[in-house]
Amino acid sequence: MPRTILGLTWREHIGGRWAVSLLGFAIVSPVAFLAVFANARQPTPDRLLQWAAISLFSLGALGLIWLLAAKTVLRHRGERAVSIWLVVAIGAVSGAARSGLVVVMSDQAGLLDPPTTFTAVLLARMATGAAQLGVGMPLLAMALSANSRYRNERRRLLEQQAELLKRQSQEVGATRALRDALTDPVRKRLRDLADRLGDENSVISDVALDVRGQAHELWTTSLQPASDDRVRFGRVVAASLRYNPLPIAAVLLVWFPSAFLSVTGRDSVPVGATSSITGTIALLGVFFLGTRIAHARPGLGPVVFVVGTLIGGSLAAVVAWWFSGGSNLQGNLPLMITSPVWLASITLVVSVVEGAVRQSEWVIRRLQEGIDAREVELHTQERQRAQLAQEVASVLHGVVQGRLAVAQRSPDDSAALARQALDEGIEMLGAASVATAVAAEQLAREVSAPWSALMDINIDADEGMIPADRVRDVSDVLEECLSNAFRHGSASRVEVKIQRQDSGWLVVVSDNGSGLDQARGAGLGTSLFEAVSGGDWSRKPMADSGCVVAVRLT
Amino acid sequence: MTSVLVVEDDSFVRATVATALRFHDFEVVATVGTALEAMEEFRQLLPDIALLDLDLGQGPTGADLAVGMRRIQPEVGIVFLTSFEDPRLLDSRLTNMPERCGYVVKQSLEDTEFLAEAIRGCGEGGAVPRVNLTESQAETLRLLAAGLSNAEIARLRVVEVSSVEKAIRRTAEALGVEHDEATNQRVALARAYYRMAGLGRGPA
Repeated sequence: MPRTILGLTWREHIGGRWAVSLLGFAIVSPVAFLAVFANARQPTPDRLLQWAAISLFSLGALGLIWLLAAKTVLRHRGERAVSIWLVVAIGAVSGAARSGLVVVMSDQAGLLDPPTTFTAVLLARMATGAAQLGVGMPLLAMALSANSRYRNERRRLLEQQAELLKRQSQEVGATRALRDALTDPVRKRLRDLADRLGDENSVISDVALDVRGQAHELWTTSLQPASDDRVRFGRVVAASLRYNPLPIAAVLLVWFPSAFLSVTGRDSVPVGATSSITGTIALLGVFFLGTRIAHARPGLGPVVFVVGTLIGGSLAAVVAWWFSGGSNLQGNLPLMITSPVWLASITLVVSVVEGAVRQSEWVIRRLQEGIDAREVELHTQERQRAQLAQEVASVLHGVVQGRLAVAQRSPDDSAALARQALDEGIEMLGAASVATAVAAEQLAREVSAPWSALMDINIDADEGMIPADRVRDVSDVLEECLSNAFRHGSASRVEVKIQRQDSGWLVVVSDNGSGLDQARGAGLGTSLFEAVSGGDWSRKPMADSGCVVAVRLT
Repeated sequence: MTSVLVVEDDSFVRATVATALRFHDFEVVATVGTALEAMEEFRQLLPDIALLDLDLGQGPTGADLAVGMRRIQPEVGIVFLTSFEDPRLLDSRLTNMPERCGYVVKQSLEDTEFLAEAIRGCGEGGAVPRVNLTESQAETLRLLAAGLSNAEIARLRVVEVSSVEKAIRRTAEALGVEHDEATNQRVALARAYYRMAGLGRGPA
């Protein structure tokens, strides 16, 4: 079991902000209200009304105790979690007090059955109430806390993802903008410098110094580490019902003891034991079956929960009734109605708790992987930016500055040469390249264009974009095929085909060259084709003349 | 007058070279910057001499253009003007350069007269300079200078990473790049490549 669940310990979940809450009371009260009717024998409208009044009054008492606890011992629970046992104790005390109050008031109203002695009933009911809320209150706190944690983390995470996606789409969609953002100020600066160039040669050295300063600055910024905003949150999906809609623990931990105590209090220990054990066994059967169904079809989880608790609750009540003598069906009817509701509420709480405990590590890891993959991509883009800055720096340094130095040493036309150097820099910066996804046809045309000086090249490319990380591979393969066709096949005509396939692209290049030379040539691009295709490529001489190379990139 | 076609992708060098050649009484029939323009002008003008930059960016190299031009006009004189101290530094497969060609390294060009001499004597051809590296070392060095990791170099060359490490060590020895505390060997090697390729030295 993980030490922390969704980032919090058991104590922080149970003894924290949700140890006692209005929401918890709102969940408990309808169940508790109904539970009283389980004891209402010989229901007549008059008596039911009295039961309802007693139940409401006792609930008020319960709420008062919780409120008192919240204002005293649980006062600081929001900042500092209290002990789990304190929550258990408050649950047990409030449960016992409420049940005791119900018994006392029922006795006063003459609603208790004559054969039972008052003390025995009082003790049994108080024990039942203490057991139910002693277990129920910490479980409820745990479920509410886990749920709240789920929701908060999930929202936070989604916002984070949205932010990442936004940044990402901006960067992917605007690589050109990224380039422009970096090069535009530099180009503008160079233009200003070109304007400043008069006929005095002394200015040139200032200009050269300026260019050197810019190059240095770009180089330095490119070496700064990329931002390191790690995301370490779990993907939080409230899928407890899908995961385990009918937890066995709900039956064994909560339903069984409470059924035993409740029936024992009404009848006797043998009846309580028989009926609660047989009811529990019936319930276990239903829960086991439901769990199997939910595991096979997780999507059915919520349905399994509703149907399972309905059937299970009624069945357990009927079986309990049957084994405890089978008399007085009418007297047991309220029990049969309240039983499913009681069962459903405890099952839901336990399911959420168990789901939170079991799923937390898994969901956190899943989300982290998702986030990490994105982060890697972002990181790559930041490196791209750094690379671009270096490119610009090297243009400034290697080209512009170098030529300015030459200009300074040519007294006759140094201003003209210097201006030319700056113009050259401006032009080159406009053409800095950054990898983006490219349409297959465009890529084929770009790579083939220079070779069409030497060979006739026919291009047939399917529609679609070659992803950014594959552009380099596709263009390398094309370049290799074209240069081989010319250099080793002495070809004059080449056919380039780029076909879209289910998973990736197929590049086929055929030529009319000498064929055999190429087909034999082991070194000719073999390693490249092997590397980019993972071995899925072929090179064959064609029947009449020439050679055909096919490389699959997935 | 001998007619010359100048193919050079750097406009600054192109203009300078054309001026120098005119000064030395050559007829510069056209100056172009791309392979496409080069072949187009060549077919139309059929110059006596083609002065070719080796590195024309992506696509055919100057050596490929030379082959293409010889297919059209077998007697054309070819002179390579390049910043690469060894053509294999541009492309490790450029081991066999076309025959009867001149080869001039830009950095070693102290006087334009030297270039004029190379063009006048290009019929005899000249020795293509070689640096002290094997093809695979030259290729490894080029990929290293392109910023690839050892793992990526190994993937592209389909060899073990250990072979790449060994090739880098040998290259460093061959180029006399010291391995010491003060410098990063990888960076030093990349700089050595840039120097030999005539691509500048990077910030001091």
